[in-house]
Amino acid sequence: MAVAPAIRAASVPEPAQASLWTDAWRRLRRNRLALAAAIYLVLLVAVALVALFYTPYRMSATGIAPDYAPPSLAHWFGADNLGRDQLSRLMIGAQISLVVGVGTQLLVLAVGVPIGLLAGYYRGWIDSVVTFIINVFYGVPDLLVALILVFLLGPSLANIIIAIVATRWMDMARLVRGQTLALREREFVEAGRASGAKPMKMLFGHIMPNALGPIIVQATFGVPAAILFEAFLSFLGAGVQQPTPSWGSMAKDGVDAIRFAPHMVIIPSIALSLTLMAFNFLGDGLRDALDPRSRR
Amino acid sequence: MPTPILQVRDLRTQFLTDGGIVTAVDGVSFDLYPGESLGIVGESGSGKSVTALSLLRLVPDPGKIVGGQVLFRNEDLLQISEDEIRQIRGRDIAMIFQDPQSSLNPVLKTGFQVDEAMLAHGKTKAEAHARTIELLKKVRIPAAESRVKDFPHQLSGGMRQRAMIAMGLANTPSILIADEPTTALDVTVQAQILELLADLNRELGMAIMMITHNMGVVAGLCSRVIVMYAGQIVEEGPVEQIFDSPQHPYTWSLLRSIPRVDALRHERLRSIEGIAPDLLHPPAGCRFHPRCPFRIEKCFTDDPTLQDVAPNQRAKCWVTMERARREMHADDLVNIQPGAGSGVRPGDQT
Amino acid sequence: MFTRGTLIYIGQRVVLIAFTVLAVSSIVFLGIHRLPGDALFNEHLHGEQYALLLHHYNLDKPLLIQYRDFIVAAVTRGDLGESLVNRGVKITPLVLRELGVSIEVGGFALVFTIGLGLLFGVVASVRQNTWIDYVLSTTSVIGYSMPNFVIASFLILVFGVWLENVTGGTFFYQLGGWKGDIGQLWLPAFALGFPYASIVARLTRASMLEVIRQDYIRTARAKGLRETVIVARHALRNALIPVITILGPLAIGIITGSVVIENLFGIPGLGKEFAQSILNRDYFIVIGVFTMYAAMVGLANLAVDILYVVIDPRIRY
Repeated sequence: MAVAPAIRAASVPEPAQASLWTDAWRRLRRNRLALAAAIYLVLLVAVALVALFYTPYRMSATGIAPDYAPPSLAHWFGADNLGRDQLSRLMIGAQISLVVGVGTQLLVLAVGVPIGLLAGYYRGWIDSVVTFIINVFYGVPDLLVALILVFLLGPSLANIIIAIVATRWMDMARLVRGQTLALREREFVEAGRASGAKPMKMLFGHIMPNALGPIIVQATFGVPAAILFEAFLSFLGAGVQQPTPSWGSMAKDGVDAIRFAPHMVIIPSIALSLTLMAFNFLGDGLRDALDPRSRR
Repeated sequence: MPTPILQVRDLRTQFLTDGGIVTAVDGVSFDLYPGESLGIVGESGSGKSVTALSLLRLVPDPGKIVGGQVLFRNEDLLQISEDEIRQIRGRDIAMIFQDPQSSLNPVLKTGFQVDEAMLAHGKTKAEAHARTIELLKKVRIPAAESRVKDFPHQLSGGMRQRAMIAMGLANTPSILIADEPTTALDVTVQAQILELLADLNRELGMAIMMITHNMGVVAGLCSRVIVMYAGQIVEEGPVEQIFDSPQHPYTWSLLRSIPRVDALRHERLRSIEGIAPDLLHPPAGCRFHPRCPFRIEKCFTDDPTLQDVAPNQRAKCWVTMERARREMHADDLVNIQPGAGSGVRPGDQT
Repeated sequence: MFTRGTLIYIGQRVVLIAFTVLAVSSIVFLGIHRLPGDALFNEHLHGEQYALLLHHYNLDKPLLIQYRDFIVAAVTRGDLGESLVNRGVKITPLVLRELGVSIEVGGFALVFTIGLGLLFGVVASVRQNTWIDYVLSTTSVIGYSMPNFVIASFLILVFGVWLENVTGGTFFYQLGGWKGDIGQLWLPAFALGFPYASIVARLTRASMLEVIRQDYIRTARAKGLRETVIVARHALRNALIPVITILGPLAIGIITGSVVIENLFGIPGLGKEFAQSILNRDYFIVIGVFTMYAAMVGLANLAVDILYVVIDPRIRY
């Protein structure tokens, strides 16, 4: 008895995944802005990896160059207020930004996807509760709550990530909930349900793979949002603590010396802006590639 | 016959789609006479609406008028400047649309939307406002004085269409183009709106061009009719004559599907076997041949032209119904499948 | 325009906002007061002095009593307590004065956000797929990719440092009082508003492109209206409806952004106070400022709901 419906379920075709992804890749390759962004990000990751083993100078060594020294051959990006090498600090800053950006999105995925799946699949009171909580969080000034959280928990990299996840998990949960609500009405899900597939298998085996495109796009946009958050916190002095550099705190030091050492604010600001821009262009490109209807 | 008020010559409108060029209007020519009411009939995709939109250069992207002339008062509307055509729109030639729900702006008061038609053509606010109330009364909207302040969503479907008509009449145009004005309404309201249009046509001496898929509407309102198929005119003539003795097999099949000629029918035409042709790849020869019960071998390869078939009546057909009746027993045909009357099947031709 | 039902709805919302504000300040109060008492003081005090201080700030009582006293004082007298760092400074008048400054800055920023956003969005949509559209679309991605402090730093660098001879360096907000000179607010307001202007521009463009295809736009053309009238009167008003939806988040964004911008420009508003008091561990002020913010967010969302009614006659509560 159990076999026949299973066969019937299997014969209901799911949207062809393979061709979707190859099509998306083909479209993405044609998008020059997105491609340039991807190349920049690959380079950035390479720099961050290199910085694990090698930086031109020790990032925390003071007095390596004269304080506020402008860019020179020995110090491409100049030195900061304590005579530390800016290039070395920028490289470590890249690590911090990437760890925060990618780390928060992994946690956001871990929190937001299951919540969204459950709310969308079971609907009813679970959905009502989840929707209510999401709306409450949307009504709160996220950065300010994160600021308070960091101060209550203490400013460490892990706590910063936790604070960002705690205030920014809703975008993903809301997206996945919406996708699940839409997908659960589709034939292949109905067929699976009718054939008695376990809910967990339905959720993670059938619904999630089909919502993967939007999830990836959302996560890609989530990375720059998190990096921006960290930069804000650092700029306000609530980020990773000295001597560990972050682009935000470097910019903050630079603002204080803006009259006589403008390179100190310009360089980290450009690094930060380029990185955020690259993620946003990549996100735009991915969205257009994965959902051709949304294109102009 | 008096001189025509509007002369359309060899009008061609194309849509540039992803799949290629679609010629939605393909060499359409006709005349419109002052005060007459002309029906343009065809199924959806026949090009009747695009023809109407082309006259006022309102074809939406990616459509483009690629050739022909639209002569109005010795001016070619396709050649004049954007500002000049703007002044013709709504003042000399007004147009009303199918779905009054979506054709009225939801965030503006109904009365103001009628006012606007006059404000755009030089009336003052006070003049426009006074005339709007007068117009709403004329189109039989009850309590017109208070209705002007209502938003479209506060009106019923029939009332919205009346307001649209009032908007069209605002500048007493010499031509009113009505693009399926009754399709979105229920049957009793349809009849009221048609009656209103007929009265206005008589009273104001305004020419009406009625775009419809419904032969019943034509019978109730029009004096002359043009039948379109796949972007081309296939038959034209006085309404009674065409209803009496259609000469194009397509017209014949349209009329066959109506039980009584003066009946208003709500549903779409279920005229004939087969589907409307793919305009991206129009069939060779006569465009109707894939669906025509009376096709002959010539129809597969040669495209006929509009020919006089009777006084004032022209049809675009090699066979014509007169011959089909005589030689192919058209009136006895129960099942009108392609080639049923003539017995010519695809592949028969050499 | 406002029916009785709408007014009742607004009244209900105001009550709801009051409760939300109360709830938010309670959460922050309880969160912070779970810290041990001495974590609230910078100096290391001992003995009687410490006990006196604890008593002065009501910190020697059980948490629930402290909370009750806080709520009673806040609700009945609007009294949010006293600064921990600057003893004797009452918080309520302080944050109210700062709120005025912040509203001035934020309001000006909102003018930039909505003005530039709508302008760019409408122009991009009207000139769809031309170079203007591409330039504006790319600019808007750059715009919201630049943190506001980066924009602000560059503005200071250009206008305050490199062009100091021209500007006289007068753009800094130096007034201690709560009425600033609008002329001094150009740069901070621009830096605060521009990233969100990019978001408004993108949304407006998409929304305009959707609206311009609607039947009623064709009707407007058929009436012989000028293209500018069609865009401004018929298209834009409808296109605004989805744009309004993001004004709530936008207000939150501007409040958040003001924390950074006010610090950077030395503007004595709520944002500066918020960051300072957190860094100084002046937690009672944090509670006070947050209470103000909760009220602002609530009122902003209410304003959005009212705007819906104004713009879309189909919406009635």
